[in-house]
Amino acid sequence: MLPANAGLIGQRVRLRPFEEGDATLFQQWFNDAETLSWLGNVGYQISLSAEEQFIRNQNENDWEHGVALAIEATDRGDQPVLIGNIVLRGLSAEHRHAEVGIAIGDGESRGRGYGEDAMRTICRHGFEDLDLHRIELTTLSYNARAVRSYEKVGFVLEGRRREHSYKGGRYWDLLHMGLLRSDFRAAEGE
Amino acid sequence: MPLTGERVQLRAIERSDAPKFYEWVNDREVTEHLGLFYPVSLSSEEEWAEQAAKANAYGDAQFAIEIAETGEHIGNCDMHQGSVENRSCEIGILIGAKEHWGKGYGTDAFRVLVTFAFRQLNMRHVVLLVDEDHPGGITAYERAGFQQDGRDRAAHWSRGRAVDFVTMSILREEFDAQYGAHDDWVKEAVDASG
Repeated sequence: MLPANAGLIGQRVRLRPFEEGDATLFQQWFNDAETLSWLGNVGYQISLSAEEQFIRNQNENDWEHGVALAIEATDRGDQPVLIGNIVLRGLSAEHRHAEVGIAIGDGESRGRGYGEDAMRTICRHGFEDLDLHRIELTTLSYNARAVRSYEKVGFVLEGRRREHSYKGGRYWDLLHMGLLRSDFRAAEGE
Repeated sequence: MPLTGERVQLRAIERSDAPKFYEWVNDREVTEHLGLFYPVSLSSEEEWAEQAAKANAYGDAQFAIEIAETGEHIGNCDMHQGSVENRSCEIGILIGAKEHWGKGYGTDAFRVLVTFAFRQLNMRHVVLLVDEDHPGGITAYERAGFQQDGRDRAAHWSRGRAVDFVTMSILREEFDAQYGAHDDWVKEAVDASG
């Protein structure tokens, strides 16, 4: 276990590398219908061994493999509490851009600002430590809560892929949002 | 479409280039200032050329230098030690065709290579090492915009004694000030897109 002050530190979360023991919770989350309803994932049931493999595959956080981190809440008592994960991937050396994806798997932690804090923390890592110029993401059109939280970080709605994703018996638009380093700094200054 | 300079063009290495490399790297006049120690076999050069033909990554690329007008292959240049986080690489050059030394082809090739590093790969910093006993090289690199940073003292063993490597570098803003920040076509493209 990492000490609570290690990793990438946000206001109320810290981001740390995956650990083997994370597989159990990850499996619960990503097989849970409510969690899946907010994500782009298709809800095939995932085995514990597949989840363990996913964690082993992310053994290296680096430019090639991306940066995948566990999100832990640090304001729930003495010990950090695992609530989700966040991934920066598709890093381009020449264009200096990357994609980010986030999941708050712990139902009680949704809508409480943890995701926004985690997103700001990983974007800061991308801009300051990795010298990225731009970070982008996609989100489902009905996820207004996510859009608001991304906007607070500085993300700008850039486009809409019409009826891109099929969830719950119908097609939904997929929203594209982008964050330039200057957008991020401007939002941080507010 | 090779990368073009004023007088040279840089193209990818092919396996069929190996016989030429075989001559060059075994010519002690050519290798005098390079970190090469041993006679090199043709089959070793063929293996090298085959690898070089595949090399095509950030800060890891090999190019054959050709005289633009005639297509004559006169040397090689490369980037190595690329670091995506530092946005940096090291570059090197060899003009093997001795009859073409001192005509400015190397300087032109260098300019093309550095332009590629900054304008296409979006690097921040390009570095090179040069033998202290190679004042012609140092002058050419300074003309190309590189500054001397310091020395790797006695880093290189050559001709029976230790010599310093002079480390030289150019930063993006220095390159932009000397050569401009954009390719020529950029202004046109910007005007056309309003």
